[in-house]
Amino acid sequence: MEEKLRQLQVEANGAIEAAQDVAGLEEVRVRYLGRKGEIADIMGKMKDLSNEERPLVGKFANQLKNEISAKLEQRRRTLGTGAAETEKVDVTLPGMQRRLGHKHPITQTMERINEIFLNIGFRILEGPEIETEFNNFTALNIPQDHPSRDAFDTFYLEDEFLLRSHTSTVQIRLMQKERPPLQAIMPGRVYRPDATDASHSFMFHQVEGLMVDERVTFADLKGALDIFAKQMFGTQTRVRFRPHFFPFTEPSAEVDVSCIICKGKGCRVCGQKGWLEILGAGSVDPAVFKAVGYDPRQYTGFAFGMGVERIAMLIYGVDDIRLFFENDLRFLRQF
Amino acid sequence: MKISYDWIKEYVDIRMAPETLEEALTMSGTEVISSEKLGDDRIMELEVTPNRPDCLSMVGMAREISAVTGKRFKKPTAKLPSFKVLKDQTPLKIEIKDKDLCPRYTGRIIKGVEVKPSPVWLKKRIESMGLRPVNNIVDITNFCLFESGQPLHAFDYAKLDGGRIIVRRARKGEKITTIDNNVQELAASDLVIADSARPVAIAGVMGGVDTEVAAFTKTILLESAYFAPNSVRRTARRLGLPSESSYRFERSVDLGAVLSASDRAAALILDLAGGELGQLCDIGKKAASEKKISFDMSSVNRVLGTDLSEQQIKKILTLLQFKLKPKGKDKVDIQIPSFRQDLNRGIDLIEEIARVYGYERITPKIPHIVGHTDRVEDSRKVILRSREILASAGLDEVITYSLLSRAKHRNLRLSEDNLVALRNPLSLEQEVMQTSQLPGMLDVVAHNLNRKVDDIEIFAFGRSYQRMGKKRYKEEAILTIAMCGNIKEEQRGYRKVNFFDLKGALDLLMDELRVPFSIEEKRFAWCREGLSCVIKISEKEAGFMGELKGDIRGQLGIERPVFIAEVNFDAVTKSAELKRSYKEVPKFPSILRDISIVIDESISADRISKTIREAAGSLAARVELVDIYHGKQIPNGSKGMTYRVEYLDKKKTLRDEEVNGPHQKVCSAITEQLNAKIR
Repeated sequence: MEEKLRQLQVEANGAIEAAQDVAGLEEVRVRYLGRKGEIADIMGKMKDLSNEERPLVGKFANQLKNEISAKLEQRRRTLGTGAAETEKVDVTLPGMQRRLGHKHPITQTMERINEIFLNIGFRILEGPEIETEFNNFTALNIPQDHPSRDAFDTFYLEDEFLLRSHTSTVQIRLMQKERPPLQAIMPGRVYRPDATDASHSFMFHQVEGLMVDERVTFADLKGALDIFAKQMFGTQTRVRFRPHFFPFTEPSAEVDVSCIICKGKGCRVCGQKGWLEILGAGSVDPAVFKAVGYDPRQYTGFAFGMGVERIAMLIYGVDDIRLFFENDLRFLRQF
Repeated sequence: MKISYDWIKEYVDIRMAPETLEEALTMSGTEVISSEKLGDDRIMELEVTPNRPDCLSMVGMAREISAVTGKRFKKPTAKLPSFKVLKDQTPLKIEIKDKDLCPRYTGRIIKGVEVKPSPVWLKKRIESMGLRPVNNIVDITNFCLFESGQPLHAFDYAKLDGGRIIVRRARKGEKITTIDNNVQELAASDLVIADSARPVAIAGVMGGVDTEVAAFTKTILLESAYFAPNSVRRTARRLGLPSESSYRFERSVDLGAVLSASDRAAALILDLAGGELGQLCDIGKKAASEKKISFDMSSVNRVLGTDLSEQQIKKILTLLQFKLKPKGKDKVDIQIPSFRQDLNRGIDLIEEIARVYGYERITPKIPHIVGHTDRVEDSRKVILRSREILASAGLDEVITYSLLSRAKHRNLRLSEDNLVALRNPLSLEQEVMQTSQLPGMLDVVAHNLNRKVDDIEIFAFGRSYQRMGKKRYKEEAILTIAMCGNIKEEQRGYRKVNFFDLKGALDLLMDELRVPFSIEEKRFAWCREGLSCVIKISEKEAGFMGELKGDIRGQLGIERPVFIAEVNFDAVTKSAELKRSYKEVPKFPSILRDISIVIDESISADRISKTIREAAGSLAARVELVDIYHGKQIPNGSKGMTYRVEYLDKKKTLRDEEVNGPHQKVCSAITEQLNAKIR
């Protein structure tokens, strides 16, 4: 009888393995563990056994019952739950809605610029958009009769106040409040009365930067902007400094990067020049230091500024600045 | 400004490919914007920076090219016949009434000229500059303007009333017909050249048609003068008359070269038109005083971060035609020629040295950064984080103009008390500064709806601007949210956006920022009755939230409900907490109990959950509304609600019996205090 049980053990294990679905497995269960199943059959015949044999076989039979039960349960889990397993799903239906909003492309561009300068140790400062003539012009060495002070080039309010035409005003505020060493960037909105067209807007965004210390040189300016350009536009980017004129820097430069579209070979975007002008920069003019009470013999520094819209237009290939302020969601959701 | 390669070769010894010259100019500060072939010539369009009026001519650019390439400069000279002033003196009286706007004026009479077409070589020069040749006299004045940078004008002397020239400000109401045949009305600030009767030219801008040189002109008055840059600039700009002449005057001509330009033109006129020289009148200041700069050569490397030797520095300064006088170690006195009015200080010379040496040859260095501990202001951090949160919640960021029309502001019934107005708006569309971003946001909503984009959930960070009194302005950060149209629901379609979508977004944001935030009903003029709330932060009013009034959106052409909120973000920043510290996660299991009630419609959810929370006591970790329903089983005027209370003991596993007490209290509180029925 013990022999018979061992045989059942092998058979049952084989049948459990062989079962292909839950129904098949149920058949196996009924055959071995059912009321009229094989094990019940043996249990029924146990009364014919000797007193010595009966407990041993009984124990074995119970063990086998438990073993088959456990194996059946294990197999049932791997076979799953029948009908649900075979249900056909149209996988081409759209996914459940999870909508992500989008930060404005100008915000994203500005954050990228800020991030680079933050990483090289600059801090970020902001300031008011309604400013004094002193902070916007006089302290920046812009003479009283300079064209940029005309009503054609600056928005004026009452009381000689104005809407800042650049964020350099924040440089002045910083220098009036703190002593060097300083290194900061100033992002923000600026205003100029330009008639709106594809490349002009009366409101736009700038990021300016300032570094002042003893022995800050033009070579440092070149180094800082070189790092910026490579991180912003890619490590292959070349940077070129051209002499220029700004009242608040001396020497002054316009900074070009190798065209990010054609990599410098010449294309429509760069006007076949291979270069894109993206920054104005220079060493801080001693007159600016005098205006904020620094000694120009002790301190030198550099400053730079860039238009965020221009850079965003280049990076994203946007050809009309007005798109940024029209806020068509079909536009904004592309970024 | 244009230069002709062929022409400029007359004044500087260059034999290089035009491309090489273009590169050298661009990299030394005179950017070549474009370059085109014209026959066997090449015309380059240059961007001359405003500090370099001395470069606004062929001779000036030749001098500049000589400095940056080291090639020899050849100055043109005027060969005037020895002065034979005519016996029959034609009376010439010149008077400057406004010396502030005209420090120097020269007039010269040339008698018996023959006005006729110019010779081919002259026509070619004039045409290369993009002008049409007129006649020999006019062409010569233009030729000299391009050659020397000094604008000249020739009057038909016979037509000058009283044979007089008076340089004065225009009288109010005076008019002049300019040579382009337009009548210009003059302002009292405009400088004019007048005869004894009327203005005959707008100084430095354009001549009058009445006195222009024509075929029968026999005697001319040749004008060469210095007009104040700002006056010319303002007049030219106001009248919309930019010209080659005003372009140069407004950047300042060389006061010391006024007469030599007249000499050069006179010599050419005698040569090409015949005639004889008459009286010359040169009044006013003769020349700017000579400048000398004491220069410390050691400052060059200190500013530039270069390693230039004294030898290199001196060589560059000499190339620029400066005269040097050594003054001991590192020191040198530098005499600045009159055409370089822009150079006054040592730093100006350092720029010149850097420019001629080449910015490209200065080796970049990594700046020595000192580093700040807190590099981002708290207000900025909160805004950065909030943008992330709102975008993650599915809202799109927009940027609206901070300037708008008074009408748009008024339409929304916003207060006009502290409105900031521009003195010189571009148009009425941008006349005042926003006190709220609402008008801008609603424009965005309308724009998108009009283009069939109707799933609108947007936010904007900006500022409100207010005038608080004389010389006192206030700018505050604001966050505005607007929602309108549909929200895509799961997979199969859309549902209408509602007030609670808006509230949910704000809840999420304030929760993440740990800002104590609540709303209460309050009327705002732009919100509809019944859905108009004040936002409170730390119990203080800080904004509004509601549904836009129907008539306002009607005016804007918005046909669907718009839900709006605006909050003073400075108040948010003050209360926000971005720092996080660990609180122990509960170790023991909690027990959930639901309670379903039927309650009068007028009792607010806020009041119900407060009542439950208070009654449940300290074991209640969370009270949550899980269902709200109306239907057949619920009597009219009531609502069915199910709340779930989570009971939790931090120190041990709760047993059911321990929760029975508190939960019984919840049931009685609701039935007794709020008159609800338990279902």
